[in-house]
Amino acid sequence: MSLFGQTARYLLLAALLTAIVGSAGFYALIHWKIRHEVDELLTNQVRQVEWRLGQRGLRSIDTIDDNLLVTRVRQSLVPVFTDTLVPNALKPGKLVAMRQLLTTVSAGGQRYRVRVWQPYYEFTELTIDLSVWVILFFLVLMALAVGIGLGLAGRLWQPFYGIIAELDRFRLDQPGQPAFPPARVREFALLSRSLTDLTGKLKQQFLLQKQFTENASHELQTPLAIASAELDFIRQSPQLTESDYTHLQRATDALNRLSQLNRSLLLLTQVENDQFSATEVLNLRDLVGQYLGDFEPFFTHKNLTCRVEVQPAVYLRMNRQLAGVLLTNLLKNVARHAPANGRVTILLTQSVLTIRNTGEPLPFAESQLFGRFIKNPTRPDSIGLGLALVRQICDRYQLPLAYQYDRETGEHVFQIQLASPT
Amino acid sequence: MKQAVSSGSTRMKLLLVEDEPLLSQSVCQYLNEEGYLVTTAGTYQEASQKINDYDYECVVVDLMLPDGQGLDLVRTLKQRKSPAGIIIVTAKDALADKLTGLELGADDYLTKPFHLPELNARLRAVLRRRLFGGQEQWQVGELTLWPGQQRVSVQGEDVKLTGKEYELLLFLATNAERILSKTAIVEHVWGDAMDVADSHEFLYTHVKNLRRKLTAAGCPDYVQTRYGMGYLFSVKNA
Repeated sequence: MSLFGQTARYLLLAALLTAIVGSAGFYALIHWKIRHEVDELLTNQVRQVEWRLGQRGLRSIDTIDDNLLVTRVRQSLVPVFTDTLVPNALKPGKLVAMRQLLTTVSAGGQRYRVRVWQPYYEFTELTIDLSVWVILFFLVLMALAVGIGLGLAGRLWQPFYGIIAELDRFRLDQPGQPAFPPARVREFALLSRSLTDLTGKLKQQFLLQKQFTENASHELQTPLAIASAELDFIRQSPQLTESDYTHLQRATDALNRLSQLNRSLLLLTQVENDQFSATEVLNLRDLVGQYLGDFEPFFTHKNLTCRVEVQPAVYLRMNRQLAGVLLTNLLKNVARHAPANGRVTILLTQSVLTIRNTGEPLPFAESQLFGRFIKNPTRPDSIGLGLALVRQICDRYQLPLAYQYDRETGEHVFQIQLASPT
Repeated sequence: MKQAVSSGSTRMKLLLVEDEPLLSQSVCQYLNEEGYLVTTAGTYQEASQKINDYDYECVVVDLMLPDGQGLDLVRTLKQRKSPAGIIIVTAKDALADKLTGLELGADDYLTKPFHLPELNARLRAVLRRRLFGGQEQWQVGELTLWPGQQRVSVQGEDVKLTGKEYELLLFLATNAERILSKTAIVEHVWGDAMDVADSHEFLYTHVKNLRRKLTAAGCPDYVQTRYGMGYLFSVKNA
């Protein structure tokens, strides 16, 4: 629910409460006012009766017409107002509320008890009608206000939603600055400006960071080359013992890993930096065939049963080198993790590339598989960047990449949905 | 072995353009031991002058020099129609540079860090193409190799080797009398495809097959295993 929707809800709720309490209050107020007026009326009538009694005596009083009863008494009374119900003279069988005043007056040396009364008749109905209508109008007014408010909110908040949409589209790793829509509302204009500043700074920082990674990787290559060359020299020394050889091999392996790690990191940064922008339409069948050819000896070495089903003309527009990196890393993953005597299946159709290999389930969460430096604890010598590269490249070309473990067949399944060639 | 890099009595002249002195020293020493006559240049200026003043059979160029671009040296050489082979060495593993380099006429491209035997093998291949047009016949002990045709024979009889076995043999023979690390061999023969961590046993199988085929054809076993380290191809001590 939108901010204004929520506000409107509370507003209407408050209005309803006000209406309920208000209607009772309003009714009481009107009722009290009317009674007050009736009491005044009765008091006046008594004064009139008193004056007539003083002028012309008891005989001049017409009791039927005037709702008036005058009797001679000796004692004086305190004036009393009372509400009573009496049968309605106009509507037989119904009662009508009545206000009466009982008091004593003195006139011409005589004391009289005077009782005057006045039926409310329509007053009660009037009171109810009045309060109901007033409250009804109040509610309609509120509803109208909220309705107009809601309609306006859509327009007023439009720039805000525009900003949100732009933020949604914003990708740190994609080129281009977000264009936040201009707004006439000052707050939104301010937000737009702040966000433009913020994203600009973020982007710049990100670029610097990437630049740093790339430069660092480049700079590392030269000392690695020196160390590697020096090891090549030591290896030729005639005085080496077997234990020296072992140490040398370990150093070589470690150096090799470092250099591979560095190359993979560099490649990752370069893909991120979009440095492989040249694309061409590639025949995936040929590519898969070519890289499979490279890996076949390893599959054979591990005695893997390899099933390959490839449709003849599957085309995809992408960078040739990246396509190579993608396939190499997927196949390398299979070569590395498929157990000896296992099964490998490679399927290529117009819409999807599937690579399956048997193996134990992942020792970590599936969601981590394509993360950087995620590796099988039993294989600490791997670099843990191969599948991260695969994902990076798939992301780069917006190819949906999915992994799942098929428990029935005990197979790891990698799938890449292929977009139609453009 | 070393006669492969000499034409007649003079040794092959190489120019090594590398701005990192430590690397330059090691490479220079290694290649000298391999029988090349190596001159080094640490800057673009120096290299440019040496190219102008002398003729080299091969130039090894680092692409990033403090005072210029290695690619410009390649351009200069090509403009002057120099017959020298050119190998580009770079810390940048960028395809664009590689393609530009090869389009300009460089013969090969090597990414840092590299193994010295790898550089040696690349140099040898470039020189073979340049000097013999791929028709070279090369005698190593009892073996006769035709690298351009992927052919090898023992005492006049051809030995059938797979492509990878032939590459393996050629790499070993090119770097004869040197202990080669498994890593260097695997990287040369199988390139990126091989996961080096998994390679040792795999390489062992292939080396074993190669030795079996050669000895079956009547060739002495030139390949020696250095436990924990790698392999040595030696005609002298077979």
